[in-house]
Amino acid sequence: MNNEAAKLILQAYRPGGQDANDPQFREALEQAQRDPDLARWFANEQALDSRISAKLISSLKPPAHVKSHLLAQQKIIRPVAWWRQPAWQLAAACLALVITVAAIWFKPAPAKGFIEYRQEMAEFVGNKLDRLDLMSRDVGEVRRWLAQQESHGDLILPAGLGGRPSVGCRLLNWNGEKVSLICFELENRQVAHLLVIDRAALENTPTESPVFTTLEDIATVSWSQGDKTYVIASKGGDRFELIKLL
Amino acid sequence: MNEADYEQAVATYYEALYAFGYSLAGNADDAGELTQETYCRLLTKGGQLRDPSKVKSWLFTTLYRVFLGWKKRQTRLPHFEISSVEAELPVIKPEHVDVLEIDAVREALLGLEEHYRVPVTLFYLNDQSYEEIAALLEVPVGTVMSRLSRAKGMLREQWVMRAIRGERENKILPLERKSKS
Repeated sequence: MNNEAAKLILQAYRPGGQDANDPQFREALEQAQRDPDLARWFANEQALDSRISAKLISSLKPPAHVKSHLLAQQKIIRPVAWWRQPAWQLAAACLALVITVAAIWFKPAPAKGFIEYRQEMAEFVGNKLDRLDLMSRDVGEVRRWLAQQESHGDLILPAGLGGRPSVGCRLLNWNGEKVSLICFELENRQVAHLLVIDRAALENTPTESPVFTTLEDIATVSWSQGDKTYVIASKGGDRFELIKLL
Repeated sequence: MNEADYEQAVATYYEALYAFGYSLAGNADDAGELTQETYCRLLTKGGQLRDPSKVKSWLFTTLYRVFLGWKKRQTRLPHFEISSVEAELPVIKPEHVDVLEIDAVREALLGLEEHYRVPVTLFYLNDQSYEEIAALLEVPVGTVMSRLSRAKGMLREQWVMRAIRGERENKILPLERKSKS
């Protein structure tokens, strides 16, 4: 191997040392040890690559929020279970159709009470939420998306949630009523779930005074404002943490 | 994938993945989105990963596939053999890199075509073996190295041009002219 051939190989040798055991570099490395000119060229090449690498890595550093956002999404996104795979979903849809047709004759009036709504929504965000329709840290973008879906883009955020980054949002349906869910990133890797529904869709909605409840390990606070009813649910949270969000 | 494994995967690889995403997409917003989507897939599909040692490769490959999925069209670029490009490498010393702003290093990288940008980014991120890079790109190791060689040459051309401009303005160190011998 002449020096030109050795240079071609050695310029791909990384200064971090992870290529040290790669046999394709061995012969060229040995040649660099024997030839002072090649050794000098190689040392310059390694120093150059080392500095470029350091500058490049530092120029491509992620903003501080990226890590917390990645950790927060873990609280929401869960593996797709087998019964949610397409084939099983098709079978389930067929079964659901049969049950629906059968049940339509005996269908009771759907529950519209606020207590039932809060209970089911808290249980859903605490234990069943597996994905979001939109992932975004930008609450403005979330609002715009909700507005496009003719949902609750004009919701009024409580002061404590204003300024916090969102994780994303999802549209839900509760007994035929549209519910907007927006998830917010909190400290300590917690997530707050804000649920918004038209006030007229429910009976016995709370007033503008917040009502605190804990359902198993899910803390909630609920209130109404304007034509909407709001619930914040946070798994593992407590009343004192929820107060900060109002 | 359990919570501890996921957090470990975030802590260990998110910076390199973000950097890789930045080098592909060319801006911070898309880099963040590519990183997020990659980890989102780890959460939803990571259960299929039987071997924990494959997480790194899986993440980089997934991010690259997500990026390719974003692209509307793909262009084929010419293949250069190593031997055809080495002579083009200008002489540049570590001191010349020291005076370059870090943004200039990044901009030069982003100026490369994707075919060259991907291997040279992975080379400088120091995270993957050549076999892993080759597997990610679905090309032989030799092709990775030839693209890398070409990419390094193109980066240096840009830095040399910048150095010459700076030299004229007496801002940075003089370049050593390459001998003709």
